[in-house]
Amino acid sequence: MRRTAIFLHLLPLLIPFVAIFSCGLLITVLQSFGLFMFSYSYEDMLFAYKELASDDWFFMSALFSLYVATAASLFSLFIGTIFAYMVWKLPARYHSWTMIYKIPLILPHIAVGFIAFILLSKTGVLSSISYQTGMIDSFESFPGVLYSPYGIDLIGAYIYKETPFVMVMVYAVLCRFDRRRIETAVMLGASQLRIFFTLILPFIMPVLNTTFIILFVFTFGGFDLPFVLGDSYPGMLSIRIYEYFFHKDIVLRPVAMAMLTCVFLFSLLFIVGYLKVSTRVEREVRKL
Amino acid sequence: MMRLLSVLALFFTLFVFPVFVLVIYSFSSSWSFPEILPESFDLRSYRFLLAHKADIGLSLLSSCAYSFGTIIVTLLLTILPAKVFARVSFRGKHILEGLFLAPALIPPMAFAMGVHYMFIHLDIADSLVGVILVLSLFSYPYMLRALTAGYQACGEKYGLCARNIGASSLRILLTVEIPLLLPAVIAGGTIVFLVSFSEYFLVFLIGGGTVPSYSGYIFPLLNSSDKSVASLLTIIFLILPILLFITVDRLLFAVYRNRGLM
Repeated sequence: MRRTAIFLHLLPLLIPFVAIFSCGLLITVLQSFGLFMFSYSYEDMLFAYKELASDDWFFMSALFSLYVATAASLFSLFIGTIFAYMVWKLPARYHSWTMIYKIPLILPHIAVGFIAFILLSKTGVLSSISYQTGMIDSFESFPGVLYSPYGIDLIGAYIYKETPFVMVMVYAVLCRFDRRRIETAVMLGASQLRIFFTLILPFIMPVLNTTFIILFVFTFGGFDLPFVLGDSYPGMLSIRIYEYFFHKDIVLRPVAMAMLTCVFLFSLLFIVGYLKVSTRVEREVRKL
Repeated sequence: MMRLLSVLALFFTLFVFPVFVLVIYSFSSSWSFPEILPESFDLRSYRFLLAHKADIGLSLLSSCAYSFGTIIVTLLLTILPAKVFARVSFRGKHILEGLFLAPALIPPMAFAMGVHYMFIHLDIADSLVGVILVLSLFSYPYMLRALTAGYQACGEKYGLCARNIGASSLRILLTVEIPLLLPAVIAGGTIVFLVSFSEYFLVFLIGGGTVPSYSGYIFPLLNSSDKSVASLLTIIFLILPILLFITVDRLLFAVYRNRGLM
């Protein structure tokens, strides 16, 4: 194909990508500097960023989002990998029986938030079950996971939603693994644990890295789930952005845009940095 | 066999049990701590569904409309680029491929709020077109990945054969490539549908409440005290896509069988 032909083929995507996606991002960044803000004008272009720099709540929210994203993605990755491995080790004809694990993939985030709410509240279903089995003696002794400052409800809901995603990703890669390698390892006397850590894990490492990036960035900037669960102080960054965008004076909108710009830059740095580090580590491992 | 049963038991407890609780809730009239099952059952939530069938139907229809619209737009955007990415290598290809995946990775809020300003000035905020556009820009990477994989899998020889006997590019696309790509289109379309159908924030931001959506309809009910109704409406979120997938599957099977492809 000639260069012009390639270019023409790419145009249908290139035009909307530039006109809508990139321009949208650009306007977000410009508005954070007080430009293109309808008819409002700002003397100090850095006013929004100065506002953020002196805002402890912003830093707390950023840290909280970081913590929730890290915890939720790591747990999902851990559980999802083990589950996918369990499915893969079953005889192949039974694999389709386990399809029920895909239910949370279909459920929207707001539905998962609602489920977390009815299961986890102090007088909810899990609390009732704990009472009936004698684990607690009144609903007051059920741990306050909902609206807790540790974000357990959020992390739990994200794990429910994201574990099946990890399973789908890891299972797809496992299907390309040559089972004869395991048979050889067994003949040579390797234990199950050893097989997992020296054969399986390096094989699925690349997909674990990609999946971690996707889950982390998605959870870090996610809005729907924390919005349903109605979070408490300090809350996710996305909720703070929403508050500034919709519920405060429009003059303060650049502050929302400045937070978004920070989220965007952080996500970008995270993706690029993580890919750099993980490819380097992989190369080192291959050398060994 | 034991292992299969224990895996199934584990998945049932973790993944199906929560949905099971929703089903019980939808039939309950009162269910309070510390009862394991509701004290009494009734069909209140199902009567609510019947009483509000016009509103609920409209919001479901609108959600389906913009979700299918998004599938079509993402297909149009990505079908030619996917072919290039699958078959041609050129300088900067990997960078461009990575760049085109960005909308699925970067938090959608970051570009959507800027897009909101643009759409106000273009007068397509609060409209179906605006919603479809923003959802397409957020979800096309899934379609692009699926189609690129599809093109890689079906090879270019079929198209070459057709060209040898004089078919035009358009005819090749319509009669050779699209039928061969159908499984990939359906795989990509399924994800695009799920992403669009479940999205709350983008539709709420760009649709501004004038574009009805099922997620927007049920949102206030999720926080209400009537958990029975909220549970029933949440179940619909699960059932409708599953019904759609089954229908598409059956349809495809029938089409393939009629054409003697199976």
